Amino acid sequence: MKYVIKKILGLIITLLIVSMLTFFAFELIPGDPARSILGTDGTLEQVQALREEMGLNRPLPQRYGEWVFNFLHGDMGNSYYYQKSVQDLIGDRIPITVAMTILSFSMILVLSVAVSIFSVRYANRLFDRIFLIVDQIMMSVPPFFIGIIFTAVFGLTLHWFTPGGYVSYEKDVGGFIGYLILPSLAIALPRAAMAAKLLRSSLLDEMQKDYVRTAYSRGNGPWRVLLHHVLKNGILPVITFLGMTAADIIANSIVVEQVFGIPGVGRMLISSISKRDYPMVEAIIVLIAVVTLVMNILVDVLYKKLDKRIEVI
Amino acid sequence: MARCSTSLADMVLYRGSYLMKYKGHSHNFTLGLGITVFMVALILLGFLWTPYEPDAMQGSLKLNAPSLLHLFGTDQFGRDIFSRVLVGAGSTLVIAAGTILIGGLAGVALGAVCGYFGGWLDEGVMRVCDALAAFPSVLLALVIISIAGSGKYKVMVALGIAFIPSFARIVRGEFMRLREADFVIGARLIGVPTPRILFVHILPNILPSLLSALAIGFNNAALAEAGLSYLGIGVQPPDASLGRMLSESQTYLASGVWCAAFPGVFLVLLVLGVGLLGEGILDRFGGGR
Repeated sequence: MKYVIKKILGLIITLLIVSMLTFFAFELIPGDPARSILGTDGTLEQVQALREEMGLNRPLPQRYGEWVFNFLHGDMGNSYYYQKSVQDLIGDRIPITVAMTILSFSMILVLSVAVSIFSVRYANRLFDRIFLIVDQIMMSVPPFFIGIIFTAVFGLTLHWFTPGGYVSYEKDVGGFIGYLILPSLAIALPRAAMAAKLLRSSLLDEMQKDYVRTAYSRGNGPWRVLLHHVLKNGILPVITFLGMTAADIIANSIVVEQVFGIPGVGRMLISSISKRDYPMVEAIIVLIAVVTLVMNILVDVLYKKLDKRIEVI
Repeated sequence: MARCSTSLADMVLYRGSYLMKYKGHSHNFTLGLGITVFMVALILLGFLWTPYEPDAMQGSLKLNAPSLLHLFGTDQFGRDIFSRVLVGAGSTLVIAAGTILIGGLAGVALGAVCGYFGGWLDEGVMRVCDALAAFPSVLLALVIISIAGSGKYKVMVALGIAFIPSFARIVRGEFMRLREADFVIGARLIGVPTPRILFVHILPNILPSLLSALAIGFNNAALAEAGLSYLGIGVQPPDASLGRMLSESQTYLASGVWCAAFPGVFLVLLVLGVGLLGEGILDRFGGGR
């Protein structure tokens, strides 16, 4: 329990640092938000009135405090560009990005475990050698390029899906998930390649241990030893890596959403950056930070749960 | 095992580092070095000479398939893709190299001081580094870009700053591991000044892990640059860029696959080469762990 509390305290400190950095960074930018909303037509009085209304005339620390307070109460401020509240604008986009993240994460997990088990079972044989080469190449391909390849192969040649034909989850959940499979796979492949590589070397290390010989001598077959004995121990070092994967998936989803024309949070972030819509950018950045940090903590706790040698709670 | 060759990398790595073991031949190292040298040579050639003017449009040559005249074909404006790939990869190379230079120098300085001295400074700096590292570095770069604006050198600085925490953490770990090593205590006893201990005695000993971290950083920077340029917030025209070429090619994917294939494959080869090289350095010289 003490461990969890310590972790959560760390999370709060980290979030404070991240939110402070984002908030103050956006304050440093030259340019007046009130002026940019009113455009060049606004008179000086109008600008002053709007500044007062937006609370821009109050001191910076006070505004930061209010921003944090409102954020914690679910009010993320108003978008400069759309003149609507941020939470309304991103609310219906969050499920899309979350669905994609979950899909990719499951793919990474399944792919890396399956492939690395086969390659360890047949270590130094043909499968393993081919795996090592393909894996190394896979690690070097950016997800958005995989996305473009998928579009060319599955979309334009095989006609399995219509590029850009995103299906809303409100209309058709099956079609929505179907459309997300290829983008999620594009994000998952390079990361799964890295995870598989780590897992393979970790499993190979485990195979040298004494308990493996004991397990064999008790009459277990090679598959049983691998699946029931080695995998449980060999996956431990990889879990930390999988935890950091959440951040990576979200970062890559920003680009891949663009490739497949998916209206997720990432696309909103990019369009807000080019529109200089800072309340939106701030809110999305802090949300992503929350998600990645919570994921890190969950993984930490899971790790300690799986590894019986370490006492957590 | 006998040493087959004495490359420059060997000499750099061997200088004054007696904790490092030569672990023998590594295919990763040879292959990675080969691919990297080939790609970098091509890109450097692109700085001096390209077969065609990268921006020259030729209306009669729109979306021509690869041929002997245009090795990689032509794009929707009739521009030679090979020339554009060379110049675009040049931007990627400059940005990635600049990123690891900025991130590496600052990261080494921070990590060395934090790891060697420890204490409250270490605690504070590492707390901030942890906060930033929990955060995807591309996002951090996005924040910096949205403040400073986009463009070749701004992207470089943004990525450089975003990569400092990861380098600092690696270097700090290595310095902590070595600060009580016999040769460091010995140097301290005979009164070697501290900066010299840090950068002349310890630094060469962490070169294998540092170099492989730099290789990974280079790749992450190259991929991040391509991603940012793909989104239109990285390298800005008139500078050519692989990411932007890929994004433009998507409209013509049905009629000109080569517009996407060559820039993408070129980027993959560069990243593959540097990645193999980074692993090869560890295979060959080990981290001394």
